[in-house]
Amino acid sequence: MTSPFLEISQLSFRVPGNALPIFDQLSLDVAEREIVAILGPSGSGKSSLLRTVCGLHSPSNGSITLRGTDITNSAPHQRNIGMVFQGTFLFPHLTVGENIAYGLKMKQFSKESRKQRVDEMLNLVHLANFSNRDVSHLSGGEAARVAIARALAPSPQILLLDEPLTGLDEQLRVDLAKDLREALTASHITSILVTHDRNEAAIIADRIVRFADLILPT
Amino acid sequence: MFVLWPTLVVLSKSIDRASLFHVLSNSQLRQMLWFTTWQAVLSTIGTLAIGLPAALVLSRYSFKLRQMIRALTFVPFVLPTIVVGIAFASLAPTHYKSGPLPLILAHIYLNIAVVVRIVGNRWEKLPTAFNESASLLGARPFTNFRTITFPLLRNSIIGASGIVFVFCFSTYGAARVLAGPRFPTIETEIYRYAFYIGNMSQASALVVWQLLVILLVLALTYRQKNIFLSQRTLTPLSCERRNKRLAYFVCSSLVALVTLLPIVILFFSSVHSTQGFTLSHWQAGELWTSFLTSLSIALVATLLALFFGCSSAFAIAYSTQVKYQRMMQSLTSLPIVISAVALGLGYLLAFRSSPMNWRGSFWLLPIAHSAVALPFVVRIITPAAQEIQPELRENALLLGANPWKVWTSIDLPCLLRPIAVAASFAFSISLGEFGASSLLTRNGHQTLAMRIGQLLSRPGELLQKQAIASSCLLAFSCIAIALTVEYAMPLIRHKGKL
Repeated sequence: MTSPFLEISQLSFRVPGNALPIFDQLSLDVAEREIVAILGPSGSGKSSLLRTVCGLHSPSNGSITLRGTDITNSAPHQRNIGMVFQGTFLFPHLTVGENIAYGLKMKQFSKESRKQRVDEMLNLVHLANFSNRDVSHLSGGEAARVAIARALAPSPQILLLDEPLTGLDEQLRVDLAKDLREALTASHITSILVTHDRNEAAIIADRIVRFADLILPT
Repeated sequence: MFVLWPTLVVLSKSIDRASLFHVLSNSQLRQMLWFTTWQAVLSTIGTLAIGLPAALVLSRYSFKLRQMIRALTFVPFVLPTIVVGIAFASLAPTHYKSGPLPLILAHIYLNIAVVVRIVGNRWEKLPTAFNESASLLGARPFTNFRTITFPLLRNSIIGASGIVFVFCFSTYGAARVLAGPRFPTIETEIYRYAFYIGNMSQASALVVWQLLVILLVLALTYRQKNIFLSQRTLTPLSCERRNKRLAYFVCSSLVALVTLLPIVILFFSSVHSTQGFTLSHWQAGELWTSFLTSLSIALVATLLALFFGCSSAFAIAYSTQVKYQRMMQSLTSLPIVISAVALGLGYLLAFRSSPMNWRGSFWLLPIAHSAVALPFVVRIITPAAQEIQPELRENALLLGANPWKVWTSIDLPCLLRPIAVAASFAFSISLGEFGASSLLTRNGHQTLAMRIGQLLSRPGELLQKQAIASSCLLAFSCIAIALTVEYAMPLIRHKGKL
C-alpha cells in the first residue's frame, strides 16, 4: 500500500498559555493531485490547522509527513508549501508582476524564466496584461486571482487555501470558484481548501470532509 | 506673532553677508559646524541601531509587562536634556566626562523613544501575513526583512532619522554639559555669541546656517507617500516558544533598566556626600523656590500651548483644503526647525524696543515655552482629530444635536486622552526648557533648569551636588507627569447619563 502524499497524524495545537487546545488529535490523509475541502464553522480551528501544516504554528503534538518526509519541525521557508490567505495580503509596495515573481526570485529563477512564468500565471488566472498594475488598484476578485497566481508560481508541493474567496459577492464567488478549480486542475497541484461555504467546496474540491470528523473522538 | 515674528527678525539681522560668510571662512567656526554635523549623524545611526530592534520587540510581540516596559522607554524623551547631560557626566569615567563620546551616547539615550514611537507605530500596523506569505514563498528571515518589512517601514525610518538628526543637531542642555569647551556645537556657539560676546549679528548668522542644515535634512527625509497599511493597531503576536518569550522580556527589560539607570544613579549621588548619606542638597531654599517658579511658568505655558495647539490642530483636522492644511502644518512646525536658543535670541531681538519692549516681562518666558511645545501639541492632537469618523458627527446631527453639542459629545470625549498627553508633554517641555530660558530669564524668576545651569558653571562639590539634586527633582516631576497620564487616564470612565 502506497503512503499518502500528505499525512497529518494525531496533530494537536494549543496557543501558549491556553489550557484548551485549538484542535487535538487531528488526522488527515491527502492523495497526490487531490483537492480536499475542509468544511467547518468560523472559529473551529480550520485556519490554525493550515497554519500548522505550513509551519507558521508549531504543533504541540503529532506529525506532518509530505511525500514520505517528516516536515513537522521544518522552517516555513524550507517546506515548499504555498498558501493563499484570507484577505489576500498582496505585498503593497510591489506591482502585480513583482508579487507573482517574488517566490520565483527566492528560488533564484533567471530573469527570463521569471518573466515567462509570471505571464503564464497571469494567463492562468485570466489577468493577462496586469503585470505592471499597482496592487492597490485591483478589485477584490482581481486581488484574489493574483494571490492564487502568486502562491502557484513557484510550483509548491501542496497549496493551502484559507477561505480565499471571503468578502466577495455571491456571483463573483461562484465564477471565481470555477476558475480556481480550473487553475488547480491545470497545475496538477495537491490542495487543501478550508471554507464554511458548502457550495464553494462542492465546486472546487474532489472530496469534502467536515473539520469535526478529522478529530479523534474522546 | 510669537513664532514667526522672532524668526523673521533673526533672519533679517543675519542679512549681513560678512557675518554669514565669516562662519565658513573662520576655521574654528567651520570645525564647530563640522563637529555638530558628524556627532548628529553618528548619534542618529546609534539611535537607529538600538531603536529599531526595540521598536520591533515592543510593537510586535506580547510578553510579560510589555506595556510598562514600553512606557519606560519613553521616559528619556520627556527628560530635560540638561538632566540627561548631568546624568551622563556623572556616569562616565573621569576621562570621558566630556567630549564627543558622552554627547553621542546621551543623544542616543534621549532619542530612542522617537524611533520606538514613530517606527513602532507603523510596525504595529504591518500585518504579519505579509511576512508569513514571503516566508512560505521561500524567503529566509533576513531576506524577508530586506524585501518586505524594510520597504514597508522605510518612510517611517527615514522620517524618524530626520527628526532624530534635527534634535541631535540642535540640543543645547546636553551639549552644554557634555560637549565641553573643546567641542562646541552650533547651539552652544549661538548662545556664546549672543550672551557672552554680545555679537548678535554673528549669532543670527549661525542661526541661519543651523536653519539651512535642518531644512535641508528635513527636505531630504520628508516623505509624502506612505503605503497605506491599516488604521488599526494589530494585536501583538504571542510567541509560541517559551525561551523566545523570555528572551524578548529580558532584552526589553534591559532597555527599560538602561533608561532608568542614569536617574537612579543621579538620585544616589544627590543624597551622598563625602560624609555619607545626607539630604542637605535637597534642603537648599533656592531649590524649592526655583521649582515653584518652574511649576507656575509650566502651568501658564501648558495652558497657552493647549489653547494655540488645539486651535491649530482643529483648524488642520477640520479643514478640507489641502493647501491650508499644509500651510498651518508648516507654520506650527517652525519651532522644531528653529532651535530653542535661536527662538530665545529672536525674542531678545524682536521685543526690545517700544511698543514691544517686553524683555523684562514675566510672561515672555511661558510664551516662549509654549512656542517650543506647540509642534508637539499639534502633532499629537491633529491625527487624533482626523481619525474621528465624519459619520459619527453626521449621525449626531441627524439625531438632533447642534454643532456645539456634536463637538462636546462626539469630538471632545475622543480627544480627551490626546489632549492630556499633549498637556503632559507641554508641561514637561516647559519644566526642562533650558535653551530659550538661558537668554530670557530675568532675576527673581529663575527656573529650576536655569538654576542647574548656574550651579554647574560654578566650581565646588556642594554646588555640583545641588545641581544634581535639582536635576533629580526635574526628572522625577517629568516621570510623574508621564506616568500619571499613562495610568490615570484609562481610569477616567464616561459616566452614563440617560
